[in-house]
Amino acid sequence: MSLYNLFTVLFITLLSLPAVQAQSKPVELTTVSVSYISWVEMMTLDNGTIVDEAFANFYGTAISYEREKYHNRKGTLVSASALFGQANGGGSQTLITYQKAYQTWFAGKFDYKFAYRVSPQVTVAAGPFVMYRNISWNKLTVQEVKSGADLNMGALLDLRLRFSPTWELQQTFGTMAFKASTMWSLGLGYKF
Amino acid sequence: MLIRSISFALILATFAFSLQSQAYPQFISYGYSSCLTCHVNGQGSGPLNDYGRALWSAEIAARSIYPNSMSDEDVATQSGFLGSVELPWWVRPHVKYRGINVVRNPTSNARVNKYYQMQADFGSTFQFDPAGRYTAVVTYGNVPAPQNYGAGQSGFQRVIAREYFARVQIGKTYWLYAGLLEKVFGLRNIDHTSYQRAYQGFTVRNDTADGISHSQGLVLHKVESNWEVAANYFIGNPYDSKPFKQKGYSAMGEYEVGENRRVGASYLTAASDIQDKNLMAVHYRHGLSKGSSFMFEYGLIDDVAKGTGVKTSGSYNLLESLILITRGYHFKLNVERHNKEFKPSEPDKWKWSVGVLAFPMPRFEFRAELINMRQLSNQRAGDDAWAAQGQIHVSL
Repeated sequence: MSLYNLFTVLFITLLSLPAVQAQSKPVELTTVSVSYISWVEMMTLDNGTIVDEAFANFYGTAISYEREKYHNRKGTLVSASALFGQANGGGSQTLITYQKAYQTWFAGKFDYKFAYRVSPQVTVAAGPFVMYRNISWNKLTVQEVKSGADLNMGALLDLRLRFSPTWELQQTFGTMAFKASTMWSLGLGYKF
Repeated sequence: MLIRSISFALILATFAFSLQSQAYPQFISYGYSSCLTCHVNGQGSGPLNDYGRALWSAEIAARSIYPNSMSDEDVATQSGFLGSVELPWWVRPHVKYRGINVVRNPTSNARVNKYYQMQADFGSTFQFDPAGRYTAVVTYGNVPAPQNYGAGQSGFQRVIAREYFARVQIGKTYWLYAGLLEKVFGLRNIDHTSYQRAYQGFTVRNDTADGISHSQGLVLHKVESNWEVAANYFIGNPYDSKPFKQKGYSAMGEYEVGENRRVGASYLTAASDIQDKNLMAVHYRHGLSKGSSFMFEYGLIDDVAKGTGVKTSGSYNLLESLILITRGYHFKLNVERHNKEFKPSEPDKWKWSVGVLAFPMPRFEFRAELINMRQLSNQRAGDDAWAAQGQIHVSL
């Protein structure tokens, strides 16, 4: 399912939301967060004779460093993340027998988001990201196994709930562009 | 014959004339920590009291259908079953309808579109003294027979008493309930298919091994301003077949750790001829600002199959965020997870749903959600499943 149209509407909506006052001193914050993250990649299996399509489920941990800058309610978020985890691939395809679990991966991710503070406690943000991830699938009985794209990009929608002056709950939902689909993450952030 | 005639007249009277609502524990964001403020059942769900009706109209629902000249207090005066017509103090009828349209796999060839009538209830609350120290509730409704559950039937095929109980207030802070009422445990989330309700035995389907939400029994509820505790002894749902009737007890307590912040814990143990069930959970509710909140529950489920003695131990969690957009309209984001057994081969089932929860006018509720479902297991990797759903609730 493509969510790009939905995100386009969200971007435009976020950009068009009114600021309370035009001129005021910007607020800058730094957030360090830890999240549980997951996404799905399309997998291609080739045994030299036939090619089959399968799926790979990725899950792991993201550690992020983020800078936030707000002019009243509107702002931008820029973050860099280091990700690592495991992936399970195959098992749902019909032509080629292949199934591998606990394949380790690591990744780096960069996000840029437009943010809107609904209230001092609630922030919504949406924006693009690029991610480089590395995984080497165990070939087992097949000649070639590939999932997704090493360099991928997409768009994410964030809901952030600041439940104390320094802690926030982060829920992120979005989609990826190349041979991958929905990404989501659930995390805790600490603000400086 | 006389009893049948009286029963028929009573049913007709209640249907012809209360407002029934499900529980909204996330409404702690409106400053109401205890369900007793708005519900006859102090644990939430079921009929609203007069204060709850007025509150829904005057504070929670959008007021776009009313002219600006009309104050919220004026709107509240129209929240009775017959609008502004005042009924005798001893009777408060209620009617509730809930329907849902679910589109599974909305963008694929395997698209399935189905409408389900979830609830069609009618009943009444009776007070036996003006202060409401002695109260009784009876609710009849259509509950699909177990073999027809999920078939999407509408109308009335199997009208049964869904809930009936008597409530007595003892002193200032104790309430005793006796009858057929919802078991005490955890957050009373309205969504009976949620991973936080379905596997725990709080569905609306009779004859399931996990159990059904309502059971005959006794509940003792103690409510203080910043804490409450409830204990429940139950003996089974009268419409369950004998092997599925669960007997047991449960307890739930909540403590206010700050303004509009409550932490709680629950325990339930139940046994039927099919299965023994033990549940433990902790939960947290946090009102962020007016109309915006999040709530979280994490729990453990232990099931032991009778006969084989096979034990499965798993866990679940729910995180629900509700953000007020404007009066009556909320953005809703749910994250749910369920793992039937603590084994790598047993999938971690995740469900994310993004949508809108709206009260466009008093007595009406509308929900629209896009749902993503993913299973993480070391046995099989598959694609996500998707569903889109819209719900309408009408409460009179």
